[in-house]
Amino acid sequence: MDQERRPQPPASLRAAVAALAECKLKSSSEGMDARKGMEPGDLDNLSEADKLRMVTMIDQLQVRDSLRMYNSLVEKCFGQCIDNFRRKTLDKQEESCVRVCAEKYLKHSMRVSLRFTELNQGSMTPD
Amino acid sequence: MSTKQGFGQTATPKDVEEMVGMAQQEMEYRVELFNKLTQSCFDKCIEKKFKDSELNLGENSCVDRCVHKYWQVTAMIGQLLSSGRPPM
Repeated sequence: MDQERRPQPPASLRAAVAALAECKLKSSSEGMDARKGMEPGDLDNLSEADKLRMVTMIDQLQVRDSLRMYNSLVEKCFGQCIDNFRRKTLDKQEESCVRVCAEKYLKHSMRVSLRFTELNQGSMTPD
Repeated sequence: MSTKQGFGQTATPKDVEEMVGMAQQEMEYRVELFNKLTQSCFDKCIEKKFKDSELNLGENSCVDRCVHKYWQVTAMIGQLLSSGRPPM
């Protein structure tokens, strides 16, 4: 087994999580605003300490969610793209399949989260 | 309980809590990865006739390659997620 590939997940994982958390942050803060609208002053009434706890909790959930989606993305695309085990390395076709699959899945989840946010805010899409 | 760390830094209880939280998430991630890997390679490699309780030669080598490939896909998607911004 080549050892150089082994330590791979942690490093790129952190970055992946950071990237994901960042792009999620936007949608979740939008969601927060929406909720504030529904329950006026929901967050404002909290003490500083409680606010901090709240933010930490949300951060943790976001990291956990990012890791989960990373895992299920890998599972999904592996399931769809890899079907022969004559070799232990990915061939060109499999690689491009995985790449397209991952990008497509991400775009898909962006779109779903967009629509989901709209539904949560109660603003129906005009269609 | 001492909160002194061996690296010339003082870790506050809050830092410790944060580190434990990170370790926990890392654990959860790895357990989930392992479970999904096991499930995927079982589905891909193991004959569903279940005549024999032993793994046969073909299944063994299939599983080995499957695990390796799964790991590669994990690395690839990890890079993909960390490099380019997720497409909008």
